[in-house]
Formats: sequence, C-alpha cells, structure tokens
Amino acid sequence: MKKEQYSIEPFLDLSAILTGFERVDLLGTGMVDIYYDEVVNVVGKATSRELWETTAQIIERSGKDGRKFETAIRREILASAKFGPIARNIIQMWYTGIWNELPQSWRDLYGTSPDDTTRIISSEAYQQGLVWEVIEAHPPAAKQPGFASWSYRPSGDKH
Amino acid sequence: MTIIKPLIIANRHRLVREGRPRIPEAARIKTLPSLRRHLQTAIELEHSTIPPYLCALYSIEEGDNLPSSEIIQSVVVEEMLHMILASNVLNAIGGQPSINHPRFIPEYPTFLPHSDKSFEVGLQKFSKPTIDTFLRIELPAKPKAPPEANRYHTIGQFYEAIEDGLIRLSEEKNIFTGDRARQITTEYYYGGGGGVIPVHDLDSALKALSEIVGQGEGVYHTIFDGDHKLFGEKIEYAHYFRFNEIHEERYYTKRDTPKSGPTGKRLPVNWDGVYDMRPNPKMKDYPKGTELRKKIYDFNRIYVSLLDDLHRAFNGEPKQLLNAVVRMYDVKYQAIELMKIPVNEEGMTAGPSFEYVPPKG
Amino acid sequence: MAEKIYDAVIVGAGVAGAIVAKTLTQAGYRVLLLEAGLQAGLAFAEAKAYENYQSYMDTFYNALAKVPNAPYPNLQDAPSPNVLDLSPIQGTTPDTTGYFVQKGPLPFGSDYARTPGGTTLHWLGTCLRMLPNDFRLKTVYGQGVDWPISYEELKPYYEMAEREIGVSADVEDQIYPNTGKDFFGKGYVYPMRKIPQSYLDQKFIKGVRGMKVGVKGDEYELYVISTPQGRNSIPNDRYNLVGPVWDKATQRLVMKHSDDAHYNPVGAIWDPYTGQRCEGNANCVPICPVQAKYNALKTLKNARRDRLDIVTQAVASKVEIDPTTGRVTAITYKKYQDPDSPEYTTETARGTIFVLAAHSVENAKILLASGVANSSNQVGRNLMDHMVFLTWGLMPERVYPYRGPGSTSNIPVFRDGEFRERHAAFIMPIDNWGFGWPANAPYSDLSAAVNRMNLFGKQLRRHLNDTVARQLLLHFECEQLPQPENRVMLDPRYMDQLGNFRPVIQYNVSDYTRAAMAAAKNISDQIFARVGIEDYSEYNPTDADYLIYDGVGYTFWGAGHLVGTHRMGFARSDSVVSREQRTWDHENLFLVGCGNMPTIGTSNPTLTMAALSFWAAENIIRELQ
Ligand SMILES: Cc1cc2nc3c(=O)[nH]c(=O)nc-3n(C[C@H](O)[C@H](O)[C@H](O)COP(=O)(O)OP(=O)(O)OC[C@H]3O[C@@H](n4cnc5c(N)ncnc54)[C@H](O)[C@@H]3O)c2cc1C
Ligand code: SF4
Repeated sequence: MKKEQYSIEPFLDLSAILTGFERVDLLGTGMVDIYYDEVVNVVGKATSRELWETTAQIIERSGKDGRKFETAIRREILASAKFGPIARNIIQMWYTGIWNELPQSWRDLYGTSPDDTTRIISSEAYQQGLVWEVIEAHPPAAKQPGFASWSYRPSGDKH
Repeated sequence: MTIIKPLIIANRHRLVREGRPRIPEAARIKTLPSLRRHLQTAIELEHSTIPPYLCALYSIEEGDNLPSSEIIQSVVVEEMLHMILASNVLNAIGGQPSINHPRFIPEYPTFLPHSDKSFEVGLQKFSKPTIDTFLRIELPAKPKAPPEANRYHTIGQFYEAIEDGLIRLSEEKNIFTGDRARQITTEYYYGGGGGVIPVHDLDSALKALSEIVGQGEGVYHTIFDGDHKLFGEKIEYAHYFRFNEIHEERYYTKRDTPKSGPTGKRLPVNWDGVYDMRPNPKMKDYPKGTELRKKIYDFNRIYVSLLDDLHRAFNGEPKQLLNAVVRMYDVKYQAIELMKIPVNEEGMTAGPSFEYVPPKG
Repeated sequence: MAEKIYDAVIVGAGVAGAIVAKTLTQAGYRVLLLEAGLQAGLAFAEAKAYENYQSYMDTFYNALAKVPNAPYPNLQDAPSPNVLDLSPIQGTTPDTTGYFVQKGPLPFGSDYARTPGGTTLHWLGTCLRMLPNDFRLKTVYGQGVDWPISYEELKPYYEMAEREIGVSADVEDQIYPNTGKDFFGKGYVYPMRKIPQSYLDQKFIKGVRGMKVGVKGDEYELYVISTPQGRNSIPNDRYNLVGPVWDKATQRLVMKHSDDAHYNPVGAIWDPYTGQRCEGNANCVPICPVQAKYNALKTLKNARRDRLDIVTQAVASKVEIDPTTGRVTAITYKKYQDPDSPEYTTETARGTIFVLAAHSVENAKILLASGVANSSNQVGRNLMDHMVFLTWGLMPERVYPYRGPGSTSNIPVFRDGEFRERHAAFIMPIDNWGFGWPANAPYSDLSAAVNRMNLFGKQLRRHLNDTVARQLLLHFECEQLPQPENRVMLDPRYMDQLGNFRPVIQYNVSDYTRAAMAAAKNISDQIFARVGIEDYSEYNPTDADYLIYDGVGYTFWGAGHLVGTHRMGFARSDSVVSREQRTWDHENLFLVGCGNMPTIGTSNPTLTMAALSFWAAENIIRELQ
C-alpha cells in the first residue's frame, strides 16, 4: 500500500461492505490503488475525502460488521444525494472494471470531470471484475479454468 | 567410463548412455519393496520442486518477464509429467503411489528428499538467487560421482540407481505385474514437451526413466565439459540449461556448448517486475481468525484437493487428471491473489504456503 | 513482384482462401495470396505472432461492447460491417450508419472480419455437416433449389475439412433425422473426442428427457446431442487419416489411411503447446485467447511458405478479362500503406488461375464492380443467413452458465422432416453464455440490482448468484431460402475511402422462415413449461430485426452465416459457378466460400464450405496439370 493509509483504509472498508467481498479478496485483485485513484480523480479530492471521512466515522460508531454498520452505510452513503451515485459506481467498478458516467443530476450539482465517462478502466480492470466470481464463472477470455471445467459443477471451494 | 552420446529426437535433446549403469554393490537396490519405495521417493522428489517453481512463476507480475515465465512454466509442466512417469513405473511393478498423505508436501525450506543435504530449497519469489537454487536442483552429476541409493548428490544419480534396480530385479523374475488399467495414457497430458509413456515392461520403464532424466538435469557429466552441439532453435534443452538462460540473461545458440554457456541473443529479464513475496510463507505467520490466514488456508485446501485428484488418477482413475488440471488453474489464480496482498510496511506480500491441511468435516 | 506470373492468384486469406493456398502449394504450385487486412496480422514468427494477437486481446479487454469485431482493427481502407451499427430501418431511407448500406426492409444482421485469418478469428466453431436432404430440397420438399453435388459426393471432402479444422466429436453421438446408416462411412471417427457437454447441458438434458413436443398436430420426441466443434479436445487414438494428398493416378485429392497416423491438436500459431485443449475461456466469439479454436491462420501457417507469396494491405477491386477469350488476365488491387489514409497505389496480379475467396459479400462486390461472371444475373442475389431466434429464462436451479465454449449441445430433431414443405427447418443449440447475447447479461443484471433494486454487499452477491447462475438461453437457427430479391448491390453514391464500393443490401425474411420462428416459440414454450423455466424472452419493435408473423412479434439476430451470393447450379442460366466451383463465364476464374452454396440448410456453413474449398482445389490442380 503506497497511498496514505488514512484514505486507502476507509476506501477499502467501504469497498468491502459495498461489494460483499473481504478486504483480502479486494487486495488480491491488485486493483485497490488504481480504483482509489479513479474515484479521487473523477469526483475530486474534496468530495472523495468527505466520503472517506464519513465512512471512517461510521466505522468508529458502528464497527465493521453487522446490521448496524450496514444500516449506517445505506442511510448515510447509499441514500445520500452526493455519495449514493459514487457508491453505486464503486460497486460496479469492482464488479466489472467499468467506470460509469455519473448521473447528469449529480454532475449538475457536484461538477463534471473530463474523465467522468463510461469506459473500461484498463485491461487488468476488466480481468479482475468480481461479478464473474459472484456467479461462479470467470471473466470471458481471462482466468481460463481449463479443459472440461465447464462440464463440472463449479468447485465452490472458495465459498 | 560410460560412453555418452547426445541424441536429438524430434527436436528434443536427450543424452543417452550406452550400456548399463555401473553401481557399486553397496549402493544397489536389491528388493522389489525397496525399488517401490525408491519410486515413491522419486514421485515425492519430482513433486518437491513444483511448489518452489510455482512460487517463482506466480510471483512474476502479469505480462512481465514473458520469456522467463515461459521457461519456468515449461519446466513445471514437465515436472508434472515426471510425476506421472514415475507413477506409471511404480504402478507397473505393482506399487501404489501415495500422493495425498500429510507428509507428501515437504516443509519449506527443505533439503530435497534423499539428497546429500548440500543445499536447501525454499519458497521464494523470482530472483537471481532463486534461479541459482533452481540450477542446483537441476545440476548434472559431477564426473566420477557413482550412483548411490540413499544419499544422492544429484537427481540423476538417484535415477540411475533405480534404473539399475529395475534391470537387476527383472533379470530375476517378471516384476511388471501391475494392472494396466492403472497406467496414465497419452491423452491426458498436453501443453508441454515430451509425452506420457505407459509402462508395462522393462523397455517402457527404462524409456520412461530416460524421459525424466533426459528432460531434467541431463544425468551425465559429459555435458558440463563436453563440446557436443546440443543447442539451437526449436530444440528443447534439459531444465538446467533452460534455467541457465534466465540466469545468464541470454539464449543459447546453435554454436554453443555446455562449456561456452549461452552466447546468443539477450533474454530480457526484469528482476523488479516481481511481487515481493515474503519467503517461505506459513499459515502461522498470521493470527487465527484473520482474513489472510483464512485465504492461505483456502489456498492450501485447493492444493491438497489437487493432490487428492492426482492420488486418485494414479490409483486406478486416470480420468481424474482432467480434474487435476482444472484444480491447477485454481491454484494459480489463488496463488497470484496472495502475491498481491501486502503484509508489511516494506511492501512485501503474502504468498502460497503449500502446507498440508486435512479435508474439512 | 506484381508482374510475376503465378499458377494461382487467390484473393482473401480466410479459411476458404487458406485451404486453396495450402492445398495448391503442397501440390507444388506457386501461389500469390492477396489480403486486404494488415500485414501485422499475418506474422508467423513466434514473437511477432504473439505480439499481434495480444494487441487484439488488449483491444478486446478495453472494448465496452464486446461484439464479434471488437478485437480487430476496423480499417478505413477495407472496412468491415459491425453489429453495433444495426437499427430498424425507417421507411425507404437506407440506413448508412455502418459499412453496409441497409435498404431493408429488414437490416442484414451479420458481420464478417476483414483481417488476415478472416471471420474464423471470431467464429464460434460449430462444425456440423449438412444433411443429405439439404442437397435436394427442391426434389424432396418442393422448396428452394437442389445442389449439383450430392452429400455422398461431398463426403470425402468433409473428412478433409474435419481434419483441417480439427473437429472434436464422437460419431456415436451424431444422430440426425433421415440420414440413414451410412452417413459417416464405416469406421470413421473425428480427429478428436467430443468436447465435454456443459454442466448446464446436462441439467437441461435431464429436464427434457423423454419429452414429446407437439407442432401443428404432429408429435416429435426431443433428444439432445453433443455438437461437433472446431476446437481442440482429446485426440481420438482410433483416428487414422492423413492428408489430403494429390493422387496422380486418380487425379483426385485423397485422404490416406495409416496405422501410425496420430492426430496432434494444432495449438496457437505462436506456440504449439498453447491451446492444445480448449481451456474454457468462454470467449470463442469474439476471440479465443489461446487459439484452441480453429482459425484460418493455422491453415496458412502450414501452407508451403516457399511457394506462397502473400501481399497484405492489398484490396482486390477488379477482375480483368480478355474480351476475346473471356479469360481472366489479372486482378487489379489497391495497395495502401496506412489504413486510415485514402492514399494507395494500383497494382496487378497475374496468374494462370484466379480464385476469389473474399467471402460472400465481398466476392459479389468484386464481381459486380468488374462486370464479370454475371451472365446469369445471379451475382449478389440469394443472400441468405440463419435467422437466430432466441428464447431465454431462468432454470429452476443453478446451472452455472458463462462457462465453456458458446454451445456444446443441440437438439437436431427439426433439422429435417416433412414439415419442410410448409416451414423452414431449424437446429436448436443450447447456449452456454446465459442472457449475454439478447440482454447484455450479466451487466444488465448487475445494473438493475445496484441501481433499481438498491442491493449491495452480501445481499447483492446472493441475488446475482441466485439469478444469473440460473440463466438459460435456447437458440433456434432457422433456414432461409434463396430469394433473388435478397441481394448485394452497388451504388456509386456509396463508396469507401479507397474508392471501392460499399455493399448496398436489400433484405427480407419470407413467411416460410417466419413460420419456423413461430413453431420455435411454440416448442420453446412447451420446453419451458416442462422444465419449469421462468420465461424472460422479450421482443420489441425497437429491436433491429423485429418482424411480425400471424399478428405476433418476433426478433431475430444474424448468425454470421453469409451464404449464396454467387451460387453454384446445374446451368449457366441460373447460377454463377458450376459444380466445379468455376464460373460459367470465365474458365480460369474460380470462386470459393459460402457464396457458392445454393441453400443453407441447418448447419453452420463453414465446414461444408471448407469441404467445397478442397473440392475446388482439386479441380484447380486438375486444370493446372
Ligand atoms: C459471430 C460469428 C460466428 C460464427 N460461427 C460460426 C460457426 O460456429 N460455424 C460456422 O460454420 N460458421 C460460423 N461463422 C461463419 C464463418 O465465420 C464464415 O463462414 C467463415 O469464416 C467464412 O470464411 P471465408 O474464408 O469465406 O471468409 P472470411 O473468413 O471472411 O475471409 C475473407 C478474407 O478475405 C479478405 N478480403 C475481403 N475483401 C477483400 C478484398 N477486396 N481484397 C483482398 N482481400 C479481401 C478478408 O480480409 C478476409 O481475410 C460465424 C460467423 C460469425 C460472424
Ligand atoms: S472456450 Fe475458450 S479456450 Fe475454448 S475455444 Fe472458446 S475461447 Fe477458446
């Protein structure tokens, strides 16, 4: 972790609760720093810092698991006009490697960045998409599972 | 002195010895059970190099060091072939390979099984010292080093003792009484040089062994100071020379001899394009209950299931090899994930620990 | 080089051109191959070949819409059609959005790739032979036309094609309607064992076992078979054919039996050990990362390179004819350096025999632009495709789609039968990639779950796992009959930047085929009811190829099977080539590719076309002797 621990930590915690993956699993993709930069770059330093601070405060109040934490995330982040669209984007970014252009209503209020366009963040991002693991498959054209693998039930060893 | 001649068959370089091995009386394998034990050791020996090779391979960042990755990968695939071949020989003489017992995986760092304990092999990231170790593993025998049945300076000597045992014992009676259905046949092996040889008599057994040593470190000393023309495009060299290309960061050319070393085109190596895996990772490095401990445990579970698949494949269910290959990919992806997880301030990362963990439940 | 006289000049480095080039060079002839695509795509040296292919992979990874042509360069100087350009055609105004000028009334929904290796770079690889009755549709069912070649005659050439492509299947599984006992010939086996059927197939097969479906009062018992595929599997040790080789005595190409013949799966062009088995990348369309799936570069790599000159970035534009003899004297091509620049030089290629292998639409274009081979007025006409009709729904339990090759099984029951007097035949592949094709899953599922259902975290994971892992896609490929009005035309108002014509396409689907879609939907409904599949199929007037039959709306998709634009026939009056694959009008001009096929049947066309390419090569060798 080369980034300031202070910001990366809440980003990682937020990503974990939003995606339903463990922190180590997210670290294992090698994408944490890149996605962190992506968010900061598109939504700006000030807004992202606010989001990390809010996350850190929630964690301080309600810990990192359990219903209390989830409820706080839903109320204070997903339901927030400012943070909700970013949080939903963070989920989709982890799941597919795609950054989606933020809704126009959000852009009108909080500003537009030239990088706020719908696109695949990088080859690597596509290949680390988590949605494929969620459905017990693999990203098409990456992480090939080997001859005849498709004729078996997925191993499920990881779950 | 035995007479050695280099042989290139279908683009694969082989060193074959004429005549039979000469083993001092004391070092001979004299009974069938002892021969079986030695073949079981052979399987363990071939396996013991795989985790270290895999660690080096998977520590290379994706897309970097392609030539080196390709070389290590090709060696790993052939080590697996060697496990298959050794199992075929063992099955042919009525033995039962045991692949999934708790002590099958050595505890790294380790001396190679039955070696003379002159060096240790560990789980390390791709680096120059790591390649040094690999060279020692695949080291050809020194001149005048006779085969020994218990303390082997090189893998080649060990196999020569087995070869001698096979020949001697089958002169006494037919030892090839194993069930043919237990042999792994050609259709399940692909993706690398060489081929599976089903074993049912002395001839096929010796072929299988020479495939192992010919591919491995090229058992015979002459290659060190010999001046045979062994190299050239599209020829697959013994493992030692392949690793040596990485070590010297240069390819061999047609004109090269073992003595000259590689003098060809540069083989680009980026020693920094590597995850900084903390050497010899262990589950116990991380407190129980932590996510990381669990993740390494999960890795080991998959690795052990892979060994289970192999065990079944070598014990009458050859089709299980298909499963093993699928599991092998899982092992790879899980190992790479671990390689990316930072574990300390210096940016070192976790890694696969290759420890035996019993099945759940 | 231009003035050198070759034994044969071939246009197009796809599978058709590659087979002719390989066969002729191996028989000792000197061949010039002209290819419109980029030089880089023809690299065979290991490092360069790898590097170029990785550049396709990288483009693919970074493409938002992973359509068939996504990985490959789209060249201004030799454009390719793209399915992203499709939309419903408004009134009589042609849609000029993409490379095709679509006159409709329905847009033509299939594409191809103009790049070395051609469309096989992004084909799926399904390799079924056509059925005997497909060759005599007119005689047996009073529909379409008959072929001037019978199944029996083509059979040995199918064996050549199956070896060249490397087809994996078990003969025992291959049971089709009305084929008789001797369909494969005694003792024949495919080069490799069947590709394992998917877990999803196995669940589906359980669900329909013993099921009878009713169609218009008739009952049919369903059965599912594994699909022959041009992707690597375990070699069959009983396979004992080598060749084809030219047999002087009989003046034919023949396969030789040999007891130590041993089929070696052909790996990637950059490394023989890569792709020796299908590794389950689930991405055959648009690109197989390991080249376990056949593509035409593999054939070209094994041509005799010392007798083969290849000129790339060479767009053939005109066939030159000697007006007195009617023989072709040369092919004129435009050679470009930079695919984005309109600059080019004009060059000519000379030879004894000329072969167009630029694929159906491009072959027709070259002929029309040159005003040759068209005394029948059939060039460009009878364009056909399979209408891909899809139905999709959620299985009652998880079947784990998005794994393995695109399709590993099919229901062959409706490939032939008396119903063909009334409506088109169809094959029913069971697809492995969920709702990806019709509904852009799993992206659409994710977006709905996050943005509309407001799910996150573990709940989101559970929801997606529970739904997406149950997705089933059924697939019906319906036969289209030859109709002269379905055609490729030229119009000087529509040119590309090199000054070559863009294809103007007029296209519709007849009631004969529409009725098959209705039957297909009916069968699908019965299957869904039997298996307990929750139907999610949806067809909207905003879909590019939406049509109405009997008051009901259906959507179909293009199959990529472009057939019929220069068909073969019995007589010069109603066909472009003879059974020799030679144009009736010019004795040294041969055409190869799916354009020669008089009808399309229910097989994906490439295997048959590859067989015909060997057949054509044989005739060319005979001519050159
Ligand atoms: C998505 C998709 C899936 C498919 N799946 C299957 C399947 O499962 N089974 C099956 O049987 N078929 C399938 N097909 C069809 C199959 O891909 C084609 O039938 C086959 O590739 C055609 O081969 P060809 O050699 O005739 O043409 P192409 O492969 O298209 O090759 C033509 C070559 O000619 C070159 N060329 C074009 N114009 C010129 C010119 N003017 N001058 C010089 N060179 C030129 C092109 O660059 C290209 O290299 C599929 C097609 C698609 C689109
Ligand atoms: S499933 Fe994968 S490996 Fe197999 S052919 Fe398709 S893309 Fe290639």
